[in-house]
Amino acid sequence: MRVFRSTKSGIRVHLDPAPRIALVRLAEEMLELLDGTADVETAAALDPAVQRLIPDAYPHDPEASDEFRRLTQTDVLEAKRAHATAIRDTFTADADPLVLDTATAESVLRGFTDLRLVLAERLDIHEDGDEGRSDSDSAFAQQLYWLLGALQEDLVASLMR
Amino acid sequence: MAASLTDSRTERETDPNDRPALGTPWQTVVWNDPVNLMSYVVYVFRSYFGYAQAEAERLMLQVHNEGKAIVAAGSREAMERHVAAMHDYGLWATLEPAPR
Repeated sequence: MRVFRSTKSGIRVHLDPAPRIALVRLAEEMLELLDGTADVETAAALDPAVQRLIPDAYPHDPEASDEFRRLTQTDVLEAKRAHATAIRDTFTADADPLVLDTATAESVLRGFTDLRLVLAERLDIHEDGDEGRSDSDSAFAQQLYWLLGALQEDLVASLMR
Repeated sequence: MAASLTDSRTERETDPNDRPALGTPWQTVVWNDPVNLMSYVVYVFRSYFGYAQAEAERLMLQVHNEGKAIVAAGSREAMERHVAAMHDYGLWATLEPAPR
């Protein structure tokens, strides 16, 4: 898949309307999910998908982990909002050609990871080799998960070029 | 991100247990997960820590094959900053005291 190309003026994006719309909707869902986390202070109270976004920093010390979360989660979740917003804005833009500066491309790249982490939780992907739920309700999430993986691979290659 | 961490940490900084008395008592660990792509993990190690390609690949393969890798060592405060940064990248990172 060649969606992102490194050019002199930035990262050029070529993506069909259907996956663009899917990415925008997914980014909007992510923003809603993040909105629901504003005042949550303990890991147990977090949606498991959000726990994957801000995992315990001290694996053997829940108290220290919760304190760490209190100190860092506002900034980390704010950054994740920015990444989801970057995806939404990038793929709603109807500029032609669409060209991203490096900072936006990096934010989109991190946003792809966040979306994959949340989808992986919904799909029960917990270990290497897990392919995720294959019931019909999960088919669309499955497609998006693999699409995001391909997009991310392509964007990393463009950024490292 | 760094600034707000530092500001709120002054109290903890005075705890003698948190001060690196000798050497580097804390380390940042990145764990294997089924979601993050190998190429992305290399990219993160290069762009955030500034590792050369070969070292970034070595650490990524260690994460992949052994389940985890120590990617940085230093003061507790610095390691907490790294862990928060790794969480921003979507990597599963923790910190722990380095074995003495």
